[in-house]
Amino acid sequence: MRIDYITSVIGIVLMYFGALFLLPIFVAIYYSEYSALFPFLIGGIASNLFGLFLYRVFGTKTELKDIKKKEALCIVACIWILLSLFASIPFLFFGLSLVDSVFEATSGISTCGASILTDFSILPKSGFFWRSFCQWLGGIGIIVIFIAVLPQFAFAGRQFFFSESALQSNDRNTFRVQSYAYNIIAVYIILSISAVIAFKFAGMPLFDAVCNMFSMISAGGLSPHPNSISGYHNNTIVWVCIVFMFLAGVNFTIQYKVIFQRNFKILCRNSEYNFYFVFFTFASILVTILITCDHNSVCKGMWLDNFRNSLFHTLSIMTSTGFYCVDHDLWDPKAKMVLISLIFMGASAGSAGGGLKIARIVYVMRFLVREIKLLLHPKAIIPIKLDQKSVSESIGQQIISFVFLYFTVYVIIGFVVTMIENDILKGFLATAITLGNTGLGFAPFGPTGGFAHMSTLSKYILSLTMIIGRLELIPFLIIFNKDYWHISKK
Amino acid sequence: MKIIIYGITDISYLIVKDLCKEHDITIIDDTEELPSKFEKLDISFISGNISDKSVLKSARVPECDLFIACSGYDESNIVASWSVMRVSNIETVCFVSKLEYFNNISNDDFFTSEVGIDHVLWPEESLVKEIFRIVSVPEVVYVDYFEKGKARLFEYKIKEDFPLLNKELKYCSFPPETIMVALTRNEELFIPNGSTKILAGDKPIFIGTPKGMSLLARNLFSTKEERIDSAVIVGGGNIGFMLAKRLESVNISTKIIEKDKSRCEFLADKLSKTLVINSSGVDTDLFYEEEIGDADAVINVTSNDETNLFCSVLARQLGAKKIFSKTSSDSFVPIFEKAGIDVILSTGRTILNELKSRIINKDENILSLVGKGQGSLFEIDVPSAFDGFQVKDLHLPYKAVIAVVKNARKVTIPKGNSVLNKNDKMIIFTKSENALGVKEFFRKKEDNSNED
Repeated sequence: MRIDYITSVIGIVLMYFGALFLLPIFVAIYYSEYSALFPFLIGGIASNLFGLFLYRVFGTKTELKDIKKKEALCIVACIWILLSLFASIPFLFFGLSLVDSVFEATSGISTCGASILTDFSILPKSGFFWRSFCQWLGGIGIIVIFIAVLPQFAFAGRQFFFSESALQSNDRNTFRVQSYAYNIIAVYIILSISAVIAFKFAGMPLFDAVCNMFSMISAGGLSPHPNSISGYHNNTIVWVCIVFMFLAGVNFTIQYKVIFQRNFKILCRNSEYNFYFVFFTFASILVTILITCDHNSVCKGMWLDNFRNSLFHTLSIMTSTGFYCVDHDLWDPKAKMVLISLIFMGASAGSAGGGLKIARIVYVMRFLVREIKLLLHPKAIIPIKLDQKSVSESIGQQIISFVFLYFTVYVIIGFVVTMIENDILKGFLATAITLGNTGLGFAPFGPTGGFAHMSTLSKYILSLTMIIGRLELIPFLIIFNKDYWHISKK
Repeated sequence: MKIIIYGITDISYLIVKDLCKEHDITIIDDTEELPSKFEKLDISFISGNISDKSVLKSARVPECDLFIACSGYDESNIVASWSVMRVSNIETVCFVSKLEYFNNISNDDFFTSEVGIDHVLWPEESLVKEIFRIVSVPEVVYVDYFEKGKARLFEYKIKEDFPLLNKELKYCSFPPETIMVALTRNEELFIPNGSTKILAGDKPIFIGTPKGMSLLARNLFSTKEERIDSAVIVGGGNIGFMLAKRLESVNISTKIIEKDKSRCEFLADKLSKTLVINSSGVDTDLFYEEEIGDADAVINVTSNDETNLFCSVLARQLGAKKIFSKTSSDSFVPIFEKAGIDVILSTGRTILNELKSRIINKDENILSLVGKGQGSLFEIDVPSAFDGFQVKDLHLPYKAVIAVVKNARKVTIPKGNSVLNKNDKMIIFTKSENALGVKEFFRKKEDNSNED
């Protein structure tokens, strides 16, 4: 591992990240929140100076040419942690404690959407803007943005690009990374602009439309309204959210092919998309039936409203967004159980969503089916296919071990948080919500609850959990390997 | 006919052996000396590279009628065809063995400009087509397709349990869009009339649209025991692979046994429903384990004749219903027959038949010869004198059946009261000896109408 390389790259990223603090500053000026100028200015300058310091003092003196896999993983992990820390600086000035600021900022950058905020009046508009904007950056993947925008990152190549997600594409034809990054950013921006327009037409104020869009397209879930989407009391807005949350959970590459190449066939052929659609439809219909037929519930018999709300909440949990349009804590426990299982499932790989990802679930399902078939035909060669193409054994192994690791990590963190909080439900639920980047669960983390009452240590652990979940474990688990720490002398 | 053949291979030997008596054949190859088995045949031989100017000159390409490139290498064959075409506009036949080349030269929809090679033959594909025909319509003795498959000819063999046995034809109702054009009884082909009875052992020939023919097959000729629903393919080479793909398309549940593991992985990747089993064909335990004896068809297409024979015999003993085997040499056919194998096919024989019927013995007008050449099927324009006539008013001088009428839009099977229009084309079936007379009849009508 070449430390000077790593510090150079991190330095560059931090310098540019500092510049992004200008956006909330403009917002603050527009809304005449002059007291909010200073916090963002400090945050921006701190990030910029620290980046410059890393780049100049510890950075490499030679040109950045190549990057090793472990360096890429290290850089990615460091960048996400450092950006979360620097993004938290403004919150310190708005009356939040250090741990709360870090939690809130990490929740933003990692698109988790869990919040410690109980009193929404303490943040100025620019503060809400910053929270949501961080989610928007995190949603597409920070590295993707930098590869597309910065000429210095042209050296990075595939290694770096894919270190943000452990799931490798099954497509054997490769593509130029930079143009690929452009493509998915183009899709992201198109989705964003259309979402703002749709919100505006549905009757949402412009500022809320922009902030909610940031949080929705990135599958984040931090809304500027204290009651999330339910606060707008507008069914059209709920429908707009359903459409765009669904899209945020679809692989951006597929959306690119549909939008720019008019390749509609890919929708039928892509296994992950099909399963995403099937799981979503099945789960929302199941939830509709469960809550409508529940005798104790207030929403008994209201089929149409329940159907809309089920669609919304199924998607919100499945894509790991974490918006809510009703208080689903009041729903039937059976319906809640369906939603909890969706926290683990997550959305499509290559989308803004979190969780285990549908592609992995589909693979594991087919793997199990194959094992049974092999009992009958011991000598048969049965490949596991995604999108009509066999997944190579090595990628398959990675997927199986990832799923196993995911649950191992889940149990370990859940165990630790349970110890700290002295509450099993709280420990494992909070871990599921943060590891899956959902940000919304059930009481005490449901629509009416939050993370404010957690202990300081849990909040730090859960903040890290969010980033671990977001980066799909590997950049963090690799720390435990001895060879990872081998530092090149020169 | 003067024919140039490029390449010394098993297939070229088969072609040369079959054609050298009637045609003037020149063989060109890089080797210095002609192999001894070719020496026994009366052919001329030129040693050298086909692209070489002097070789082309001494072969006198412009005087020849047909060029066949059948060396063992696809690329050489394509280059050879091109070189010859640059000297003269001779008719070219190119053998290939890869799907990509086959699609490319035979002008798949994707390619926009012509390659210029007249015919592309893929021996393995011909064999696959042949096996597939027999598997998919097992009761049929002979099959032919016209008009890009929009019209089909099936020859059946009548068995004792045929539902319309001993009935006069005028009381028989066949499905719409089908017509019985001929009947072969005791090796003699004739065109039936309303009072003809269908007897056991007869071989009727039907022509119809695909829909009509499948109704016919289902209603009259399909017996539960004959239908093939499951198949086992031994050997996962090109033939096995292409066959499995076709069987998948008609929902026949298929297993394929292949001994090479990486080939198995390839097959399993490309095929969606077929079960790929990695084992050698001579693994008797596997045959019991996978219940090969319960399969409706066992198709042995490994590259090794001994394996094919062994597997065929094993499958027969286990009770498989219908057994197919490939053999590389014609001389093995009797041995395979004695072993009780139902269908024995050789790549060389199949491709030779295709070459002969499609290219060498072709008659501009005759579409097909059936019943060992006794009946012929040819296409003719409707003379303007018959514009608006009904089929039954034609009064042909010989017994002949108008089997198909086609216009720009569609292909139809005419009835007695169908009306002919002058831009239509007819496909007429008659006994071969009367074919000329029927053609003459229509030509006269055409001339008369021109004089008027």
